[in-house]
Amino acid sequence: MTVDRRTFLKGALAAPAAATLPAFFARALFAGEPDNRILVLVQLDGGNDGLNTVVPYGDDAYHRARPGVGVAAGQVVKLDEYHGLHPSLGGLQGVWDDGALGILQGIGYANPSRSHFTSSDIWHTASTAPQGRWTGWLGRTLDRAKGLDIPALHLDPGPLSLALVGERVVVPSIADAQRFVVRGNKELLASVADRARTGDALEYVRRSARQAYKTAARVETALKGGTGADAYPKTDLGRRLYQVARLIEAGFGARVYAVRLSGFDTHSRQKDAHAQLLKMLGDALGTFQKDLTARNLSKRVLTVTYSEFGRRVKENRSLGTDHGTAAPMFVMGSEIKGGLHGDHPSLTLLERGDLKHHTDFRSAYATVLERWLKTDSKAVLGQAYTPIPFL
Amino acid sequence: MHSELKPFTPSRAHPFDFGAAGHLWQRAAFGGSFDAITETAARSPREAVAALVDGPGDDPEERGLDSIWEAVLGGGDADGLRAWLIARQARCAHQVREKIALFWHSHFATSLLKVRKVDWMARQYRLFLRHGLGTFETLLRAVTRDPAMIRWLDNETNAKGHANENYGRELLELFTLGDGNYTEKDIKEASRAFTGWHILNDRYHFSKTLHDAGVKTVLGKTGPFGGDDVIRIALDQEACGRFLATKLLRFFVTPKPDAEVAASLGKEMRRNGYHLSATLKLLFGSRYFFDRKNRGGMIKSPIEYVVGAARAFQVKLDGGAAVPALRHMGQDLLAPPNVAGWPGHNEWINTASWLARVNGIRNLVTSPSVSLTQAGRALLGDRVPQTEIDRLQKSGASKRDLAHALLALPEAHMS
Repeated sequence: MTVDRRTFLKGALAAPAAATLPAFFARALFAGEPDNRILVLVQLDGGNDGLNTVVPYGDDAYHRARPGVGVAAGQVVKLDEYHGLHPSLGGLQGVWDDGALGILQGIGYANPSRSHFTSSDIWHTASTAPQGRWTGWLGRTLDRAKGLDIPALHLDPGPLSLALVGERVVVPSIADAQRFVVRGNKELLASVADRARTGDALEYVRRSARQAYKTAARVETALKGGTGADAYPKTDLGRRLYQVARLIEAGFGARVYAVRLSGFDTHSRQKDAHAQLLKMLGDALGTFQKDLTARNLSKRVLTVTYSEFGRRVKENRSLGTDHGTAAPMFVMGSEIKGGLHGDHPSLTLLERGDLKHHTDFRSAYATVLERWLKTDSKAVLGQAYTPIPFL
Repeated sequence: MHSELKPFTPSRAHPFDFGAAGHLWQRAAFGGSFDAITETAARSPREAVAALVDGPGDDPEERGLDSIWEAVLGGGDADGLRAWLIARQARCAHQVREKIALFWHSHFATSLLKVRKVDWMARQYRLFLRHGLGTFETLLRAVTRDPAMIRWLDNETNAKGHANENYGRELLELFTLGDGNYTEKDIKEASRAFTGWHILNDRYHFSKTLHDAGVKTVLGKTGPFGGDDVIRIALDQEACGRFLATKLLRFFVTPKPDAEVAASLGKEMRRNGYHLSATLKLLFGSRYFFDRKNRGGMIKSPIEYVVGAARAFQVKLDGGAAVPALRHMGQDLLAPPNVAGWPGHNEWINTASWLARVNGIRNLVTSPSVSLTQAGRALLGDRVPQTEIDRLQKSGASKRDLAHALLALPEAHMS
């Protein structure tokens, strides 16, 4: 694998294609950032049930509130005498044992919205009262960085995550890196997108077209000769994380990769559906981390999961759970301080039937910005937030 | 009424010309052919709008498509149904009805991925075709009793003593009022009114025993309300008119509607009983609609792009081939991304969807039956300088590549 990579890089750098492989190898995103660090963001779309993800199995109140959808104490992947992972997250056990998995508990924000859209917007813009033109927290971060023509990549067939929308940057979004090719008369197609246009939307479309043609050319080069795909689970998330690993290894140049796993809105009969989703998540993340280590990339990569909200403590009568509030986030990487960060929110001191958050989600963002990407979190988030000591 | 909603009166500075008529076809319909736009431009705006909204009396294309309806449904194949719907959009003469049906599909945003019954989805879409231009109340009452909707928002498990809030929440948040115009308490109480609205043998069934007939307080009104009462109460809110008007404006006119215009249109809607064809005639005939600032600045949805291309180039769209292409472009009919429908506007375009558009259209518009010049005019109006078109024509590329390049112009993705 190492030989493959070296051969590939040497070949690519020597060949005329080197012009499309940029000089990002030694380029820091921000001054003081040491080694081309990368952030991989995993969105759990729909409101992941945090209580059945990191299960407070040692708490009677949990079992009382969830006689139908709860996870039995004997089934969890035990983390300690109180916390356990959902049994479908067994794929993360190795990462946990290596100290490369951190769990940030009780994450949320004040006056939480229970609307998927409002709350997702809040998480993505990092503002509880977004005003004017909406930009995402990472879009604003990347706006501040210089000299990266493809600063981030969104690997998902759905719309570009608002987290990646900036004033200046156009982040490419691709459904499947393998099929990202242009058909037809490439020169003619590119030529009609050359001329700058007036009109915001029109110029946005034109820049997206140009970015698409450029990205297609570069992805094709980067994915050539990749190996190791077979180790990943045969799921969309597994395939996308393989492609992320491969693009990082090949020096694609993006510093933020965003993927999405959807379907977490489990209002009814949630048990099997949620277990399946967590299995997809755990297996893909576990394999990804192992693969990064094998490719000698793990020191450069931090992976973070989030969801727009958790779910209500008490299950509903449809064997599901309704929209709730605070939930845990996973952080994963060889450079992090693994383990539990913060206490599990109380299952008895609730706010309208929901868990009370004790840590603002922007504290997690601030930690990533200050201690991983080495940038001024205040400039991005509008104010200072206390970091969480996972970095 | 807001002055911007007054009728558009053509002048020398703002004529009702080919460009303006093309704009009407792009927005109110799925685009027109060169001949259709030319014909429209010869009428007054008022006549042109009325003709489009009312549609022709008889349409052989529609009769033809209706005649294969049973076969489409009997196949039980979702892509077959999608292809049938797309064929309607491409060929039916009553274009506004097809367009408003698509609007309602995105508004009510029910997905086959959860409903899992093609015939239920078909029945719901037919509600949009049947009631889409009538009153919103009739439509909403029908949709609330629609099995696909009941399953989609879990109302089957909504019963006395243990309400499931999903329908009550989305009714207020997404269908009538918008976030911020109701309280969590309103949702809980409204949900009680829909308890017992279930499905039996593939049909709506009201279960009296599971219905909570008790007194509820919803949006300040108190009484032993049933579902239809809650619908009426929601529709009586000023917020409802404004919310629907804003959505219509965002779909047909501009991504950023003027708040005062939206409020005024909302007021008109409440006044006309939320009658859609009256509302659309007012809107499409308004100064606001034809204002130059509202022309050429909207990003087309994939369906608008593909169907519009077929209509401009006068090719018979292969519905079966269009369905997977549209899916790659980000618009899979009957499977909107979530309960809020397709977000639209800038979110239609990213590098992935761009490549899907440019790659997909190449195989859908292969042998135009009109000249490239006429197709280009129908598609682009006067929005691309003639020098650019001339440069393309002189490039020596094949006719197919030239048609492809026209469709890869950023302007071809705008209306």
